[in-house]
Amino acid sequence: MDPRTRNELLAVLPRLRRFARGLVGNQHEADDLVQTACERAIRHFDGWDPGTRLDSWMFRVLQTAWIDRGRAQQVRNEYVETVAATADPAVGGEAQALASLTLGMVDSAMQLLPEAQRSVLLLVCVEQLSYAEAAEVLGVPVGTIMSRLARGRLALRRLIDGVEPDEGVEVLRPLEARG
Amino acid sequence: MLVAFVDGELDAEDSLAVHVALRHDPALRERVRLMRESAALLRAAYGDVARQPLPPALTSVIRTAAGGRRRVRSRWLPAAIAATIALAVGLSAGSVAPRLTTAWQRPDAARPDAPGVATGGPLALLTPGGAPEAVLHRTLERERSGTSVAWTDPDSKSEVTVEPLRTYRAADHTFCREYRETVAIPSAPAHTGYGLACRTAGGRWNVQYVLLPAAQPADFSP
Repeated sequence: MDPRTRNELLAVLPRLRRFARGLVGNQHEADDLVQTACERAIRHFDGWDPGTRLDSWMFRVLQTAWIDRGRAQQVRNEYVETVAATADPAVGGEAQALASLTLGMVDSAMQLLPEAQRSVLLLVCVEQLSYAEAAEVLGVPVGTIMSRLARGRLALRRLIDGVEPDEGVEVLRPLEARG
Repeated sequence: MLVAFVDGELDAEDSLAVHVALRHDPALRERVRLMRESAALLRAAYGDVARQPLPPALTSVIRTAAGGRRRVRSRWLPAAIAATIALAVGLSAGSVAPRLTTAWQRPDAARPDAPGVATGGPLALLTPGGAPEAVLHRTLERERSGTSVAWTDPDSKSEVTVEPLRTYRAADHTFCREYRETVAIPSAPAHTGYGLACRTAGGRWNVQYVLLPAAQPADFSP
């Protein structure tokens, strides 16, 4: 790998971490996944066509690594904790507290979505890939991207809205817990 | 179709058609709102993740991928420290420490300001005098990981060997290197330690810690 490509790969890292975070729901596992993806990418670097975008290729490598890993860890997803979407401005007025509350809330909701919807949502809504680019990364037709995206977005919004304590869902109140 | 409208993926004609439909259909408008909000939520939640400093273990995976043979198995720095402790323990148990071959990029090749090494490593303990520190500094500053540099004290004939093992970039962007150093005093077994040194902005290598095998051979007398 020449130094220029290496720098390019380093420049993609922040987005890879973000993509991985959205997929697995916590930063520790996400970094583990990014590391696995980087190691794979380095081992199979001749699989990358220098005429194409490195970031798209890396998203693909990471997505594949995640799917491979997910098969072994599916049980874990059943124990996802759900955070209530009750951001009381009187309590959580600080932007950072709200941001971390949003993060926790979205992390939890994302973990309840089917894996296929999760990756499309992240690539299009967060990483701002076009439908064609996302289709390329995930190896599915653009039509599939659109239907997963539409369903995923509606489901995510409803999950975040619809979580109520009286529905028997465990509720965590991170702001109060911090005192 | 509706989602493509939200993401601006429709051509002008289709986009106009959706505009018209939205005007007459509140349920459709609600779906557009939900879709927009979920995208906004996702961006709000994950935006910061990409702005956080990168864990050194991740960058070192890439930095050390220089081509040719690779052994990139680094983790977080604490894990690396734990591994080093394990290495030292393994050494004292009589096993052979594995050789890690990784590449090393110098942070800034030719800084004119005076470099130096903070004292505190076993080099200072075992072979008094300034020369071994200079060897340590020179090696950390110039040599790739896996390359060892030896120096023999002209008076005591003791030999000092320094070998950088791995390189990290810490969260504050300073470079840190793990290294192995061996001090061989004539007619005594060689003494090996593992250290971590970090480079200051001024080009000094500060030794953060040095690990020595817990038990030396019984017949070793310093």
